Amino acid sequence: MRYLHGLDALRIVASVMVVYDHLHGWFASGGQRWRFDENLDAAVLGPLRLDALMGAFGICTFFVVSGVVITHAAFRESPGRFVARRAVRIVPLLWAVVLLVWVLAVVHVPAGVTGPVDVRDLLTNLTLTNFFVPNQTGLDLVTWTLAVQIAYYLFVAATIPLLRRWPWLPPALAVTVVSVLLSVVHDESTPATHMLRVIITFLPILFIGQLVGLARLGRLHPLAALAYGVLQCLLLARADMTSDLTPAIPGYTRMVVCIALLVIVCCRLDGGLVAGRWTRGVANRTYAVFLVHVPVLYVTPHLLSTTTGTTLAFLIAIVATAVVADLLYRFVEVPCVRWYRKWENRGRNSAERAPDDLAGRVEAAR
Amino acid sequence: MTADIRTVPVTLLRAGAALLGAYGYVLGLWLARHGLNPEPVATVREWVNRPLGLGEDFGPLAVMLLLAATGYAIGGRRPVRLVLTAVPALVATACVCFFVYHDMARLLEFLPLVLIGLVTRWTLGGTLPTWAGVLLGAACFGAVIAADDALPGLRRWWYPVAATFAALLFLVAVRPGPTATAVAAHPVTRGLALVAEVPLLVGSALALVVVP
Repeated sequence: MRYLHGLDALRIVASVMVVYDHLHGWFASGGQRWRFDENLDAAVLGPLRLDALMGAFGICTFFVVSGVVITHAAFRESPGRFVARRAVRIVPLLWAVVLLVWVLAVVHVPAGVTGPVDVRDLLTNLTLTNFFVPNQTGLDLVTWTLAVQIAYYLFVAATIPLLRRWPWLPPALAVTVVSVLLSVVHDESTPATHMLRVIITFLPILFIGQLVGLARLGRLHPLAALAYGVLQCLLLARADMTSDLTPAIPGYTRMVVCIALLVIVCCRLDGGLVAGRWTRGVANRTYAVFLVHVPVLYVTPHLLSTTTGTTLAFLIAIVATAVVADLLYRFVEVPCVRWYRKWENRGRNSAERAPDDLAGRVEAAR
Repeated sequence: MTADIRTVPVTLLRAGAALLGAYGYVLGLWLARHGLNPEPVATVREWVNRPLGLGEDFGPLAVMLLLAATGYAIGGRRPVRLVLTAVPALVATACVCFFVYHDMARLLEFLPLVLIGLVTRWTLGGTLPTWAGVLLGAACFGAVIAADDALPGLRRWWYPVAATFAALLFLVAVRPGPTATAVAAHPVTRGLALVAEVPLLVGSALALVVVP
């Protein structure tokens, strides 16, 4: 299977958009003007109706890309291995960042955490149950997206046997499950039901990525993939129209359809800058950037802006985000994945290992 | 039956433009002028047009797809055939702007799509380096946004959104796979592609005949 270099470039763009959106939020929450943002808004984002969508665009792009790449993995791995590899990919870094932010919050360093924190907050955040339980402080609020990802992984793991034999069946099940759940889960008065609704609302985006992946692999006829894709888009529209709270993203359906088309285009990109080592290296760090950028964006200006001024503080914050993300990638993500792959391959000789294990590559996909 | 891979994108886009143009500028326009909103059309407007931000029953999207296909087609033509290929689409677009909208300024938001098609053809053909193609394409898209900004009366039609969809659909179509090639080779698709300008001209004629 050809490596999809174009998706690396797209992940970088998505990462930049998410960070940019939170930067914008930081300025707005402090009542400060950011002239660059105002000009960009007026010249580009406003006419494209993207002015309120930057962060959401980035997150949804990650979801579609994840859907594409994870589909490829689903054809190579058994359900157990699939779940284990995904867990090893996302859990260590999540725990490291959550623990770090918790420690900062305990010593009263502002890292984007509102309110006091205790051990219970730490435990719920480590397990992502803080989104389901009332009165829990969120330590890194971007981690709600991992709850959506995990739901998708569990669905894919459960349907791997079906996917390999009848590739059309899991997409049909996906449409049915989402449709039924949208009918059943409409009360969002508690954190648990609200979070369930969030997961159901965003799952179609990952399923759209799955359809792109299946069509590219030749496992699903493109017209069938298109038909399922239309159904998932209608479910997006339905989710949007039948809830006042979720997704709370204006132009949600429009944005996802544009992203799906963009992903299809980017799947075909190859060569040049897109296939460069730098692109791949930065793309591999986008998960780390995603998890750490909010705490770093809050901590760094607080430490610096009284002496350096806001603009310079933010430039330093961006550099700090890159540095912290790189350190976490090198010293947490990569060692954990390598350790797990070694443990997976214990007792096997090189002829018995899967090709990607022989190459010793850290899996690029979540 | 197979189709020449170079003409597949043009065929697909023109066929799509024909269908959307018929829906938007014939059916949709006629219904709008008579103040009618039957259930099927209302459902499509509620579930498709509004969520996607594509107004006027996909009419502008049809024009933009047609113009992008035209730009792509003329990229490989000699001057005489270039004119013969481009003129029908340009005349149809001008008719829509004049008779349907009574506003020729809308051409400023439509015509950059021709250039996007042209630049893409030159880039894929190796005439332009990729970086230049990307920059020029972005500049053409910027022209759509600039026109939208300069003409405040058009902002409520969200033409840059339609241009985004048109550009993305165009970029998907220019690298067709076996299924897209087979669809393009189908007689119905080829027939629709042949008459892509007709719905726009019929819509323009309807606009003359039907009193708003």
